[in-house]
Amino acid sequence: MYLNNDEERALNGEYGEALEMAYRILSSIGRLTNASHLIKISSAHISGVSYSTIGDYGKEFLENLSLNAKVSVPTTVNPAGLDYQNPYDFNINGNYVSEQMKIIEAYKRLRVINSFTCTPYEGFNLPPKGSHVSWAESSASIYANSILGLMTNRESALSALASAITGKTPYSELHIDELRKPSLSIQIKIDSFFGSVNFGLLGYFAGKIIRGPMAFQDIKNPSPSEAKALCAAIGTSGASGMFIINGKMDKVERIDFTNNDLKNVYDELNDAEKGDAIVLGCPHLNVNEIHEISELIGDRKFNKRCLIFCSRKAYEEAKRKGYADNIEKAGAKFICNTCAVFTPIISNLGVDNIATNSCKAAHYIKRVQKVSINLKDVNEILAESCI
Amino acid sequence: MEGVFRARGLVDGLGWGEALVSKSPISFLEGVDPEQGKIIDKSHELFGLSIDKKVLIFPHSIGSSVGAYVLYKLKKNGKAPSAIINLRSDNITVSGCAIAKIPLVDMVEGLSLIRKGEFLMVNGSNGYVIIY
Repeated sequence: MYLNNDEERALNGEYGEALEMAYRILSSIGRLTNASHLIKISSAHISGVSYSTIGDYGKEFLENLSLNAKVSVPTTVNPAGLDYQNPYDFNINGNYVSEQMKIIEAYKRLRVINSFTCTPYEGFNLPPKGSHVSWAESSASIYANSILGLMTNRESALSALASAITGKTPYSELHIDELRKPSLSIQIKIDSFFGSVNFGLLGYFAGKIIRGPMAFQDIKNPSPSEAKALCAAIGTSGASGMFIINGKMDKVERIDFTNNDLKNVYDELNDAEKGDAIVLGCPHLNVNEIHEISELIGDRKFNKRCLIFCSRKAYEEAKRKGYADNIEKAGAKFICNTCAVFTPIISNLGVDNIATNSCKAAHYIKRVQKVSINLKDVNEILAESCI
Repeated sequence: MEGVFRARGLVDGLGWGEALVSKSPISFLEGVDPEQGKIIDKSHELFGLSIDKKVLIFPHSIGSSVGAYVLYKLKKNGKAPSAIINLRSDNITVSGCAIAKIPLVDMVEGLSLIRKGEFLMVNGSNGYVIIY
């Protein structure tokens, strides 16, 4: 991969250790993906914030790096393992809290935007259409490519961090127009196909069979909530980084997605008849979604615990508009800036099964927290849990 | 077996040591102890062996992307492989080797000729492997 003089100097350590490290990551990933050169990016989004995911080794790496490095483009970060303004909620142990706080401090030294959300495009990080960006967090990078018209590869915590520091990314794969064409098209053969669960199941199915860009045909345009569910599920089950919907297809291979496929994926993810607690907000909810929940609840109350995950920014806006108060009055609890999956909160609940509308949460909570999942759309969950 | 084999250089640097060969992928997070520099996955064919200062040869990484930080920790502890050769590398191994400064190559011509215990030199900058 070609590097200009300045980039060569940085790689050789002339501008300090942090830039040397960042350019080593980019030049190595560039060679792996057959990039010709590096291009400038307009924003970055970094994963690897929760202590549950990066652990002690990742924490030590970030603490060292952040002593003499700063991001050079607007950079948002993923949720942490707890809400740092209320760290001791849910009996999270003291060691976890202090180690998580060190990671957050390291990111603050790097001068990232205080987002702590997996949906940075909702209120934090939204460059104009066509911009090249470097986003980790699979659900966000797929959303960026497929819904927002941005161009990004599915970055890892380290490659997105290197791009945030240098402001550059290898010119490869989904940054190149010709490589964004779908190689396979999925025809939806289901009448009245809608809802976050259905779109999530479709994504989970598609992610397993296609590594590259994909197309969905004969399907309604997803709402923002349905699109988030679709992106998150594709990111969970596979390596694909983008899709298009009802686009013009040249000769590409076609496969069908039938009621039978839908049922098979559902049976794979759903292994409980009911949930003893409710988890919503994987990916994080936006203000409109919080509003919708408030409307569905009306003046009823929850008959079980309900946890709602979102960014603090979304929560505060929902608070100002009165939606959050209504939901809290019904007995639900908002947890800000925290991942619904990679946190000790779920296992500390002490329940055997959880109701959620998220296929991503279903996949990970089952594996990470060893809890059974009842998968249902939010209106059905609220219908049976609010009295 | 002696010779010079062309490879794709992924992470710069020069490393040499005894070859340690695995036909199965490695999960660094679950399978390697960064304090001792040993393979601790009981189901792995290299279980119990030290990777410290070896040229570690395996197809690619599997498992958590946190594996990249395990390579960094191995290096900090002075227990890292001196170089890594993959069949076809991946994001985790590449980014881990990049932050740990472990030379890395893949797509080596004649990889199957390399036997455990042979002494190798790996050049990640120019992309070749020498068997002595």
